[in-house]
Amino acid sequence: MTRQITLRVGNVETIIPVSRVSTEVFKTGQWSSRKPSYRQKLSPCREACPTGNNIPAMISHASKGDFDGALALLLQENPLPGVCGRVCYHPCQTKCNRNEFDETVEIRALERAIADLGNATPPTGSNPEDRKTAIAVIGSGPAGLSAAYFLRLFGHKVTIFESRREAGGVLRYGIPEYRLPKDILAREIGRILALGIDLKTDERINGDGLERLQKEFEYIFLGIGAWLPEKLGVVPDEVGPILYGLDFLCDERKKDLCRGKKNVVVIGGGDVAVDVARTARRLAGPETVITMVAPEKEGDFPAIPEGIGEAKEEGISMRGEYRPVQFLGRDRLEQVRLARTRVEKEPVTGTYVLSQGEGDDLLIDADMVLISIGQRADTGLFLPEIIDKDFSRVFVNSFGMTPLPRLYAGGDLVRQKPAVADAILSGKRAALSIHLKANGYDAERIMPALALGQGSFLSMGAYNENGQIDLKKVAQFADLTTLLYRKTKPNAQAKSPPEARVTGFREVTKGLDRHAAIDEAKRCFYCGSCNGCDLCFFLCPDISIMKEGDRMYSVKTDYCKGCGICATICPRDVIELEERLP
Amino acid sequence: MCTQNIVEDQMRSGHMACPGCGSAIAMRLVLRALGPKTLAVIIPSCSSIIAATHPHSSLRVPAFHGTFETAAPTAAGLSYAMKIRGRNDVAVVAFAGDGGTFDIGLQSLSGTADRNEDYIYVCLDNEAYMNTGIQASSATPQNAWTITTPKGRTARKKNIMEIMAAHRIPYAATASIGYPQDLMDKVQKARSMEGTKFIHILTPCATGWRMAENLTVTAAMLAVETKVFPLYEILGGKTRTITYVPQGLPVEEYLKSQGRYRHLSGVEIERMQAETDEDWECLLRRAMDCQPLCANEKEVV
Amino acid sequence: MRELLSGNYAIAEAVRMARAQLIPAYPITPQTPIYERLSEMESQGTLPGTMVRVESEHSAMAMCVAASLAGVRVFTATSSQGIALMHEMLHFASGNRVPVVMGCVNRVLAAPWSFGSDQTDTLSQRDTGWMQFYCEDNQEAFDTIIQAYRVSEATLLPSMVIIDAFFNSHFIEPMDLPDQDQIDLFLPPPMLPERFDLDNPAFVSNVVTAGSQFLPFRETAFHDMENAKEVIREVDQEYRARFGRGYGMVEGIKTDDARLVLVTSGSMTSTARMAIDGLRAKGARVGLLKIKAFRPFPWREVRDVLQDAAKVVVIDRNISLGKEGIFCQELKSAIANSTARPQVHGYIAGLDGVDVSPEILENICLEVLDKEAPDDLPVWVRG
Repeated sequence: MTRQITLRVGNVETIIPVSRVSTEVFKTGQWSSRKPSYRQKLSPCREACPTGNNIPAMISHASKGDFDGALALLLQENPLPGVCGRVCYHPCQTKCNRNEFDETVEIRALERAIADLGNATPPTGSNPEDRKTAIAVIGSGPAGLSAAYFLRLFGHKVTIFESRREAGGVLRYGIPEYRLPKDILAREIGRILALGIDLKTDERINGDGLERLQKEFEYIFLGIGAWLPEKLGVVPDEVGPILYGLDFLCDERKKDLCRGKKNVVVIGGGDVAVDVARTARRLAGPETVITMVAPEKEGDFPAIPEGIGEAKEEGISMRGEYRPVQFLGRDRLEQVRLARTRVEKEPVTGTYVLSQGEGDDLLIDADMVLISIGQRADTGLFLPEIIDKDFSRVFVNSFGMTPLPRLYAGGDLVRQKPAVADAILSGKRAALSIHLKANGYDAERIMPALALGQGSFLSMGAYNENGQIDLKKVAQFADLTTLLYRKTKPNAQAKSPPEARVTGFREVTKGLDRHAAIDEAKRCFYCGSCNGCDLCFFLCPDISIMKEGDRMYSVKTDYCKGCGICATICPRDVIELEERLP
Repeated sequence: MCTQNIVEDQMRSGHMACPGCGSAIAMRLVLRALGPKTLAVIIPSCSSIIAATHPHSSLRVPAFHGTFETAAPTAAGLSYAMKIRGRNDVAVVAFAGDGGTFDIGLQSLSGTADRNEDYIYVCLDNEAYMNTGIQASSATPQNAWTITTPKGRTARKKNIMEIMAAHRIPYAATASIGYPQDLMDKVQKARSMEGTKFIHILTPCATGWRMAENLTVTAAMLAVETKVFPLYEILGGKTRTITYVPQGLPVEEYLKSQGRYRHLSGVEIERMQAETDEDWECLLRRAMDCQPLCANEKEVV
Repeated sequence: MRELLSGNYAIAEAVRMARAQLIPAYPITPQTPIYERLSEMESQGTLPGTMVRVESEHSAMAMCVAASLAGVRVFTATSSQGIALMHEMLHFASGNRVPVVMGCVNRVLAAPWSFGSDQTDTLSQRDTGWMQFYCEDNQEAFDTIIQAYRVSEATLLPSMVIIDAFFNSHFIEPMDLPDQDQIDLFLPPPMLPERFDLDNPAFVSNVVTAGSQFLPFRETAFHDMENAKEVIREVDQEYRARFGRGYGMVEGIKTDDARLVLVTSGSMTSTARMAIDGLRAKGARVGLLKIKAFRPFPWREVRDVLQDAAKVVVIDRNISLGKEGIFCQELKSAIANSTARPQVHGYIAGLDGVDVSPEILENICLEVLDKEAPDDLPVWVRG
């Protein structure tokens, strides 16, 4: 029998301090009127991206190996990620905050990896209450494809009219395969057309055709590009062959044209000129000398530096600060006279003006000249009311609208940076503009709200993001906290060796594999965006930051003492301490 | 090993720590890592205030308030009692400040370590007696201002980790509130082991270190990145493993962030840099390898 | 079962039979045989509890308090310097209302250094809120340990069981050891309040802020210690009924008609019994008051015993510098408000284990019988 010793005290709970009342009765939030707020901002890369791509969000998915999710996000803003991931001039990388820490994140390489490794469909599912209408898109280059894509996502019926045999525009006919393989292009275009867009090839639309279309379709988007070459003032008729660059690239006989040539001179220092030179390199004999001549200083050629670098590796010479003034030869071209040139930017118009430089002329051997100094639009096709004569472009306002009602335009046809990403933006802008107009929504109010930072680039995601990100504030490097990051070398894409490249048109750059892509994605600072690192959550001394879900936090203002650790420690400048009066 | 199965905090809001308190962060993270089946020992220190006065408690686990120099044997006593009563799933953790560890509690801590009693000892080191108003302890670094060492302390900080290693306890580790994942992983690792486990956490004090209250975590990061407070483990008193490779920023960056070092001359800073470098080299030589607890070091953020 | 045991070993046996579960201890002369015997039992497998060989007495008591609060029966033992070192923790134990039982061997407190019997070490702790029981012999020490667990676990107050250095601790006596199952019936396993409940967690013994919050704890403990007297009596009576031996809080020997009552405690009491018999044989009407329970102080019992005495002689084997012998002080204060107003004569004798023989005690009583009034200061007796 085990008895129990009887307790002879009153209440065991009160003979010593036994404390159970939660300290939560003390509202320590009253200690300070300062409270943190989560204010996501724009990252500088996104501000710089013409397509308004939510780069941090995309990279966040990639960093976890979720390439499908990353691609889905990308497709919200850019219908051609596999293209841009190969050919874009990556203004994002120039603005990447990581440049001030060690080196930029390889954003373009990541975009390519996401496009190549991910599987996703574009974000269909338009608002059933919106009005749907029929729209004609003329031209299937990046601008037209982009306009068609976004209009189709809004639910409209879209028909593309393409004058050539296949879709793609400059993507197919202007950019060589070693930069943009045809199968990739087919995949990218296929994804767009699979939305249910009607593509009519071999259909050239001129002025009359346009009138006909205006009766059949409620809105029209012109994206026919700029295929006419800018001319040199001094091209003789007698000696040749002297061709224009883009024509050369489109020409099916270009291999024959290069046969037997010993000295090919390419006039121009832009991306097209580089492509022309590199194409000639592949088609001409290995002994052929290929030289690029441009008025800019050698280090300042306007082409993307990667292209210049690769061209040099392939044995192409660069001659800067010269322009051709005379083509010499008896019945065929033998030499070109080059004059020293100075390039100055005209302050008012922003155009570049060439003038005589110091030094003697130079005579170089040439048996073929390819002139690649820019393109102009064929404005003769259209009504004078919509032509911007000074720049040989169609005139559009900030909503992509020409002066004529229900007629929109974009791409190289209008005055903009002649790049794929900018073309995509113009298509997107016009598409949004058309959609708002068709539904009677106030474009004047809505579209500026979607603009990113100081510029005019648009984000469709922002249309859906509902104010989660302050699109007007950009997270600068000085506002980041990088103490926990390490200086690392970026994961660079591998390239095939130059000797192997020039024998054909195989893709030069190999994309990042999965492992390297994830590794590179982890270098992103996610400037201004919350990536759910949980540092604020763990480091609050008063347990006043709650996790509400994936990358969502809330503040318990009843307890937050306003110490500001969260705001200080957030690596990405998301948290701000604000005075909150009761 | 990354922290597993952590669901909820075992500490509550509404406690009376100063805003920005490093010790509060550390206590919270330690208890979070240990989970609800925990018994805590609190002694006179800032933790005593943080855990709250009668009839309140900021802790969601049972706790006992011991005397200043007996955090260790109190925890050991609880640990024995739990085992005697067949409650083998309860972990006992003692929280002590640097004063209660390096100074007045050193003897009893040494005793429990010698006997390898089964509990976790957490030293919340803010490098002075802060609860009583900033008096120097033997954890106060050389040259640091305190009210009782207004010209800066002359002696160097005791190397408590090596003292504990000399007892050959199964596990000793340093941790910093600037690296919460590393801290929690170490606590969980300690919990999985038997015997005396010692965790030395640097917990900056805004009030005592003379800096703004939002900078305590930054200071804790800088201490690590400048190698002043390396993150490492000692197993069995023998095997040293560095668990985080610091950037090796100049010590001056750490010192200038705090008012308690404001009076330092260039010569003194140089000497502190030399001493830090020497200590780090010594640790490197003795360390087996550099092995972060999380598989990917870059998982830090 | 009959055994020959020293006081230390008797205590060790009692601790074993009481089934103490955790025994943190530290060696100090003349307590060491308790510690050694328990360690020997542990290594032989006969001790049901766990020994912890701690590194100081202060830590021993810290561990006792923690483990006791966590519901485990604990024991420790010490002496002299050790108990002084524990002082902070003794307050901590009673304040935390833990039923720790501690064996103490009275020994001189340095300085100067020595090892003989002297009660100043335990008496210095009289304000710490511990119950104190001064044992006359080894049998009483054994019995009191068992009773102390009953009393402490009922009242949630710690207790000290006290013996004299060498006279008790090391001298061997014949003793009667009860059977384990009888002890178990008298002293069941501990059922202490659950202080550390994971399902209903509390912060125990945390800081109390306002004085008004603090007072009830002390006052309740005070009343609980007063009520402990009844518990001590009941337990003692039950023990007597079951085992044939009881001691009371005090014992009066031949005091009913005594004109002079000699007051002693501890081992000196055995000698005093002989002295009283000797004096009675000489015709003196003298009696003996043995004070066993010192805390809680049995003032009612003391008053009862002394109500008809004209003179009281208190022999203290201790001294509180600046006042007088401590038993003398306490007795004086106990009878200060009683209607009977005997003279109280204080004597200091036997410090550091100096032998106090029956002759010395007889002479003291005869001296007092001749004195008209007590001296203001205690009389120091040389050996």
